[in-house]
Amino acid sequence: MNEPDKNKIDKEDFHLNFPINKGYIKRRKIYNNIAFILAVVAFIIGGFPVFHIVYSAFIVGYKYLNWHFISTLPTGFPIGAQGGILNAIVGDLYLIVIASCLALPLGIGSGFYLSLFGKKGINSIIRLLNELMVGIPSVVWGVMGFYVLSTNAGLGFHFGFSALAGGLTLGFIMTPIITLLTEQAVNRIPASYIEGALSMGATKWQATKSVVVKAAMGGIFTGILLGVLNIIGQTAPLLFTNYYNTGMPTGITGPGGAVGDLAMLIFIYIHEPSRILHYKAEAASFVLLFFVFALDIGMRLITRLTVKIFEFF
Amino acid sequence: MRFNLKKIGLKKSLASLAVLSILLAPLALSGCAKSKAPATKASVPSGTITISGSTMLYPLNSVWAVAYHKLHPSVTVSVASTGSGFGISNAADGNITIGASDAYLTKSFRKRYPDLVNVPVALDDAQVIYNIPGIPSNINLKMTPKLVADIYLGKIKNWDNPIFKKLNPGYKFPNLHIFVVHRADASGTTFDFTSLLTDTSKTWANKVGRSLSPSWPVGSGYLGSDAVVAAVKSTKGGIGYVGLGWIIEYHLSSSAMLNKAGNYVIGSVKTIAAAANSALKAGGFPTDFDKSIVWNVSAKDAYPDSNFEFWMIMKKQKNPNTAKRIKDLVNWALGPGQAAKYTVKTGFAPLPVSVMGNVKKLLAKVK
Amino acid sequence: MFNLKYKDDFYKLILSVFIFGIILIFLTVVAVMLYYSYPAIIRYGLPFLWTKEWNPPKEIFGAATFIAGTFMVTFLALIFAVPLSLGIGIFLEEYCPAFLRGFFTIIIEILAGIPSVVFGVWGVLTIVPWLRDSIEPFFEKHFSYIPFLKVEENIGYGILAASFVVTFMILPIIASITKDSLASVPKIIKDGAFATGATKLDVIRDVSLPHAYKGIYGGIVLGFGRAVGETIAVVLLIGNQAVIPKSLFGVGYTISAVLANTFTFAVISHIYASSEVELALILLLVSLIINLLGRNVLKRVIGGKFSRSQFGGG
Repeated sequence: MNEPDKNKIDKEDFHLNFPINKGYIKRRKIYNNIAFILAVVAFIIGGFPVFHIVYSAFIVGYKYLNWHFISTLPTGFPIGAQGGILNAIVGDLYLIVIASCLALPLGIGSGFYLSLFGKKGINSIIRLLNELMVGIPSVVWGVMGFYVLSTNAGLGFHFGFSALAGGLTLGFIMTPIITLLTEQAVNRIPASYIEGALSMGATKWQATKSVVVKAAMGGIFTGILLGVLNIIGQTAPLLFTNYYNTGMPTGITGPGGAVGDLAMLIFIYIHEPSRILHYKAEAASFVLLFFVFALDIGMRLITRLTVKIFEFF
Repeated sequence: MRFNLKKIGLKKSLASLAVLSILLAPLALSGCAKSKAPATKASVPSGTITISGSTMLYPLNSVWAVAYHKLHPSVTVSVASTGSGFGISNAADGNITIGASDAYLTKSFRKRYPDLVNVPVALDDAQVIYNIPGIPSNINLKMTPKLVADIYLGKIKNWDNPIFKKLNPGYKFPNLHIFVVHRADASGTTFDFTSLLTDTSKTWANKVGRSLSPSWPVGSGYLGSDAVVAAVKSTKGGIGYVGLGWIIEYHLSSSAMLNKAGNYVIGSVKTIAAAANSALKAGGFPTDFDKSIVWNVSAKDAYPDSNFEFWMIMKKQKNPNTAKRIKDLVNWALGPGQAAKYTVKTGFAPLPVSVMGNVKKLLAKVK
Repeated sequence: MFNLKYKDDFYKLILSVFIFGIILIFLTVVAVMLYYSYPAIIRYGLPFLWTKEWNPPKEIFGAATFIAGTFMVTFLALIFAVPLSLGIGIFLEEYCPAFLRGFFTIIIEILAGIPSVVFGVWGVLTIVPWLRDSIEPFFEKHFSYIPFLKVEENIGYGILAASFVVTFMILPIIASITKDSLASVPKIIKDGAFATGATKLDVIRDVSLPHAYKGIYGGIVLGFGRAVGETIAVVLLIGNQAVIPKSLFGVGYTISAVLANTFTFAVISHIYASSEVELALILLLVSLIINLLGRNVLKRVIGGKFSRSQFGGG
């Protein structure tokens, strides 16, 4: 009982039952401020690499960032010392298109199935599988792609080191992402929309056409962009399924079917002793980051535009 | 729903995209497996040849590819440096047309892949490179294979070890940790390098042995010759091993290595050729070229760690046009391709004329 | 009516094919791993996990060095990343002014989208020289008596460089899940605490964190999962030497790195390839278990909502 007497506080009836110590309050305030400062420092440390990665990629690579760099094939020795990264950009397009050919129908179709025809059991199993697949390391996908798609020995499709093998492997990575986001988007449509359509005598196919696709559009597109964003940065699966091509592909399977790829190009250039190639790796990183950020921003814009039916991020 | 009505155009495009992709997927899967129809005009069927593998042979492969493409614009030669191990295994599995390798097909490889043939195309060597501050870069420090083995076994850890001074009087060696660099991938350069160490150091032979991807006692691994060069160049006290082509390209300091005749020999096109000629002269060199020309050669000026460079090719090609393309390319590489402007300039010795008959016999196996 | 019904059945059939496709992909990846690793599992059995030697020419295969390297990098990255992410999550949710919150959150989330090869380049050109020229000499001078911090080779590459970069790759996952978990604390409880005169710190410590700790735990588990499988940045930085590192500054090797470096050659011998696939199988099983744990926790706490950061950039 002696403490309240020592620290006189004007509104005495306010603290009848617990002691208030001015020093204690002060200490708590100081701790609070320290915690605030620590949190800010943590944020600065965490946010620093974003700026430093972009900055260092730009500051080193900027002299190569011109149309010539984007539009020419690498030449010279070591290869890439002259010329640009056209092979990688074209190759990325190949890979994205092939991966999408697999992932879009699988992902969007499954997402629709789960929300239109799904039952609790199958839904939770498929959702679980997709969540697990999102977590599978890319190098494991690469090993699987090598045996199933790429290598010409043993069982499998025998596509060789090619855009088709690489693209489909990336498609495996992309599929669960699109499925999860499509399902999420469709589930967020108010049940009354779909039920309304069904009660008017529409089939589920008509309901999909007239209601679901429209209402889930934002979510589906977000899923596609997120999927593409995920695969353009992948390197490890391509090591085993596509490797790299310094020129243009002449097909999508077998010899000549391999394509260049920005991530692989960076990976190969950074191993080289030559300074020029390091600079070019940084410039290519900047180009890759540009695509990644553009996709990221596009995704956020879509989410923002469709926020009423789709609150995701 | 107001927003969604506006987006009907998008919806349609999405639907059509989905339909298109469903339609295209099987088409793409089935249609592309066929190779391109041969061109009728040129004697060589048009198409692509992929050469992948050895990072040691890579410089020569790339100049050959460019030159050959100029001669035959309808044939594209695509070259990649992925390590000899990649070259051997993927040529055997048919994933690439030609696998480049610095290692010949050993017995176990032949057992596993009886249909693979190794065609020698040039000569090269594995040299020890280093980065020691205080040693002039134009000097080739003398080293013995046993010393190198001790370094790679982790027995000698510092550049101030008296043995360096004893071999190289007159130079000041710093008190600096030896940073051992080796290859992380399966490498033919490693095969040649470990062959030398196995032939000269019993401890090495017992503990590690000769392999494309041995289990390294010490050091750290880098992917490809290029990364080894980068690591040694950027780290003081570094030691590594690469082919002559890389040493010429990047002006690296390499060691003069003790050979069997007791001389310290600097690796160069001349000394590599001397090693090959000496090994061939000794007689009984196998026609399949499955013998090392490391160390056990008697010539005075032979570089002790020389090797044949190989192209690994499957004997039975599925597509006769591919076989024609391969033969034309190999014949060109063995003929005009041996000119000094391709080989010597990039740090390779041309094949001795005496072996050409055997090489052509090997090539004839490809059908 | 029959027609319409028929059409729906057809629609359902097509969609089920896609569902089947997803199940097939999952089964294929598991089956491929099991099928190709079977010879090694039979031949080496359980000791594979604790055998230290990895010697392809002698056909002695043991995963101990790679497992040790993988978990060292992962745990070190978690030690760095967890406090940082907690700080970031708390900052974004509790301290950050509302009008900046969106922008600041994007900065952290964008970190999740940066491809790992770009992280690798950043590591090689920025982190390695920094470690080599500043950090390692400092530790060599002042802390060389601590065995765990002994600098054996002043090269910059090694466990520390790899885990340093991996830290920033898993940080956005943990930070944004922390933020979401903190956001899921009912406002009314927090307001009640503030009403008693508590400072923000008191509320965070005594109300928010106890309420959100399960979600944070889930985030840490998912971060662990991402770090275990990280390949390209680690290959570029870890030093690729099959030893169990004695020091933070030592070099090492991870499962994913050895696969990236040698797998395409390993197919030259059945048992070599099989051993490498067994490594991949270990990685697959760890990732499956980890994600099973993490997602179950998260489902309960933040209701199965995803966060942008959970989907990395490769």
